[in-house]
Amino acid sequence: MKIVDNERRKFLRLANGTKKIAKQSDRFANHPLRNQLGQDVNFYTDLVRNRITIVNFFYTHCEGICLPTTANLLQVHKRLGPRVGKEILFLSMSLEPERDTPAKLHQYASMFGNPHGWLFLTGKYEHLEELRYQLGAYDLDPIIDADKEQHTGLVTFGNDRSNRWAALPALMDADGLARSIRRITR
Amino acid sequence: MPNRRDFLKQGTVVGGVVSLSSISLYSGKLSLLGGKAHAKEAEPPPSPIPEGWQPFTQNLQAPLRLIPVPLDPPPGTGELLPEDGIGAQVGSEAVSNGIAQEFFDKRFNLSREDVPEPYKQNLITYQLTMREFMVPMFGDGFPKVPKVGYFGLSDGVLDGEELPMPVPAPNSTIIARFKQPIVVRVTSRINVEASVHLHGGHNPAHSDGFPDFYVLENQTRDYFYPNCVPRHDGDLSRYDNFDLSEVPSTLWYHDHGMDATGFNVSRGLAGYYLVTDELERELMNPEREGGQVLPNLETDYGVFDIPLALSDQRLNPDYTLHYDFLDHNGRLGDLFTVNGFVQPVLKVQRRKYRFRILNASNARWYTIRLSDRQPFLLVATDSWLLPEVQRHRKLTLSNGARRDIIVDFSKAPNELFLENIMEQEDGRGPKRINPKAKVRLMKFEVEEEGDEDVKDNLVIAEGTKLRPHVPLNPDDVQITRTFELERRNGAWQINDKWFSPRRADAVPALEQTERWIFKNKSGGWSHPMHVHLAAAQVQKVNGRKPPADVRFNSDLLALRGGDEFEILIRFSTFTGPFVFHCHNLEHEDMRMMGVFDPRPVGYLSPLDGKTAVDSSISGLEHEPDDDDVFEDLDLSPIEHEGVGHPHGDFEAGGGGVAPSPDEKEQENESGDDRRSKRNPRGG
Repeated sequence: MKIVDNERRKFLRLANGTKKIAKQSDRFANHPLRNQLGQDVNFYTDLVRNRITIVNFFYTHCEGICLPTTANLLQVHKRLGPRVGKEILFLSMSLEPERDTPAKLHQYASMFGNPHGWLFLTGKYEHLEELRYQLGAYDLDPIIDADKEQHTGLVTFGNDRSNRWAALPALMDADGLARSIRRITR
Repeated sequence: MPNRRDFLKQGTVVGGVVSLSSISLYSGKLSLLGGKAHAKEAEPPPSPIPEGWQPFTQNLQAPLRLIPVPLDPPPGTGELLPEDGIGAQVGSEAVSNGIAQEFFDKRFNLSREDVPEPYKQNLITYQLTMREFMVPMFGDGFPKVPKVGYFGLSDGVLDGEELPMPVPAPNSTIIARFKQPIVVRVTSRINVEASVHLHGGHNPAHSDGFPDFYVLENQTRDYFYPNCVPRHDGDLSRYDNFDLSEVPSTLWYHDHGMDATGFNVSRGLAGYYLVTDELERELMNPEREGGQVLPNLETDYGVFDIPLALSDQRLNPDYTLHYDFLDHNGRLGDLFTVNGFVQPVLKVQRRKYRFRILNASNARWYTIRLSDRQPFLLVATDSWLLPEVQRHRKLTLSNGARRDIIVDFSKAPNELFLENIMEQEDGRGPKRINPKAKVRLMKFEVEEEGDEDVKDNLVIAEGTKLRPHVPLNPDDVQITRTFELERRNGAWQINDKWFSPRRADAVPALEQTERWIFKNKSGGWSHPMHVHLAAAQVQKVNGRKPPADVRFNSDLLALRGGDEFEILIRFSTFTGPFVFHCHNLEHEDMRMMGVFDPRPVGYLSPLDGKTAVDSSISGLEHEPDDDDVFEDLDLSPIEHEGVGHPHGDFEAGGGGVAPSPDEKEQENESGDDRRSKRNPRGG
């Protein structure tokens, strides 16, 4: 089940002389990030490329829906089984990277039992902001966009190989969310 | 090669602000944040324009008319034979759903006993395949664009064969007759889940394109369209009590697959479905006493009765379609197409034409007018003919809306344009009507004067009587429901809930009139709301009388930021589940949707949030086969328990059980209290 499969490539090459098919991930910057263990990773080449990624934004000092959101995504994590950590990665990206040091992220991850295949990421503020826009977690209204908590309610997911992406409310029922993630990223 | 500036100068995009729309405002606003203007998303490049291409040079074509074909196996035979009261039989590998029990349901004058044998035999069947094809968006000799469409016999081909060129998109118009049931067998050869919704029709739930009753790749599904209307009074013993005011005229079918609708529709999964009954055919009759009112659909389809589907598109530099899966505001394009062709031209005679205009765009609204400012006649709004012809100079179409207009070219200049004067800069909704930002959508070239051969027998003018309207009576209202639309954390909620396809948000009683109030509380966002299954009769818009074109039956409520629409609606044909939702398709994909499930009075809805929808309704397993990626997963918790929040919200009118008429008073007394309890932050 690949949108960008050989047959389609052939179809497009025959039709238009197309060599490279535009992908959603073409728009993702390959910014350097650091995870809760202090390891350095690049967003696209190390995390997204050829994988299924499930991404949300949060910050450790968040007093609103970040905790219930992470808890709900943990339920989704359980439903996706042992493939998480190999083909599937969960990425929680900090909206307050200056405050959210790897140590703080590690502490946060520990509250949820350090789920495998789940990276809590910090980095340069402007890099994370750019990725936030590229991942669709923004509001066109600058006043709403300035409110960090508004960006903590979405979970964005996709399969870089099949080039299919979507986002859903992160506090939806975990079963429904897991079903949709499974179907869309197949 | 002309660059973009030259292109603009040629008058293609007059005003120049339109094609660069969404991002220019967006970056402007960001800069308001002062030093914080940092993380702007990369702008998609403008759509490529082929070298040597000129607007208004390629001819517009009407979508091809689909031709009936016999189905093998025939619907409703063999293993698929339905039994009274049991429902569609499922399980065949070839066909995932047979003809429904509703075919034999007395309520629709289609009972097994009562329907004469020839009528049953006259079931019309069509075959459609969803597949990829190349669209000559710019005309012959220019790069073609890979899109997806519904294909059938009209193209001279069935599944898997070569297509003749050029083929318009949308394609495959179905022309149906009232009380003449149709089965459309749809096969998917695309690898994105799809679900076909016939917009504006009275169709049983399993054939209504419920969001996750998917047709998956290489699967086939039968859609049963009874072409019926409800009865006035629910009296099944009579045959003179059908509500003929609900007979539709211009429907369209399009994709409704959950989480994939915006992608699929923008790729071209849309088609027209036109219906006539005795009344409309009489209006089309050249021999009619008093004169022919409308062009004859049977003989003049694509000639004088022409569908015009408006869709904006954006292309990648390699002429593939641009679709940003992570733009949740609403997809806007910078190319304007009519029937899939970029700014085409139509050569017309000096006579009257019926144009069935559809806004097939994901998020763009249109306000249409003619460039010579001549008024035109409005004969139908959304699916239904008006009681009498109206005269307009401009009309606004929200996403999914239809307006059938009659344009008289007899005194027109030699060339004129169909223009859009609605300014829109991003997916949030239209900004304002602004003639300075006008875009020419297509050109009409009118033949020279003095041609004696032009036949125009149409006698139609403002006030000409069309289809009598039967208003619902506000005194019959049994229950009032309020739906509040809100933006929360980057997504959408209706009455503080996220959508679940397994939870009924309303369980209306069959045959009872209801008042529904939609409140758009989400700031600057526009939400055209669409309720499936029945016509909405708009009573008030922000407490005032609605605009003239939506005073009767309509199926799209064009809510702009802060608007409140009050409608009367009555469900008296099928039990659910059905959905109501925002027709900005990116909002819909972000689950801006609710489920309603009409039931006989006092009956439980199975959509309690725990139980999966009865497979005799859905007709198939809902999920695709597991791909290798997921082969190790333990899916039991997902597959067997159904999804959705269990909810105990089983009060009459709140969901769960259809309210009885006795509960009207109860509702009036306690309605406000209950509402405020459920929603502590108040309305």
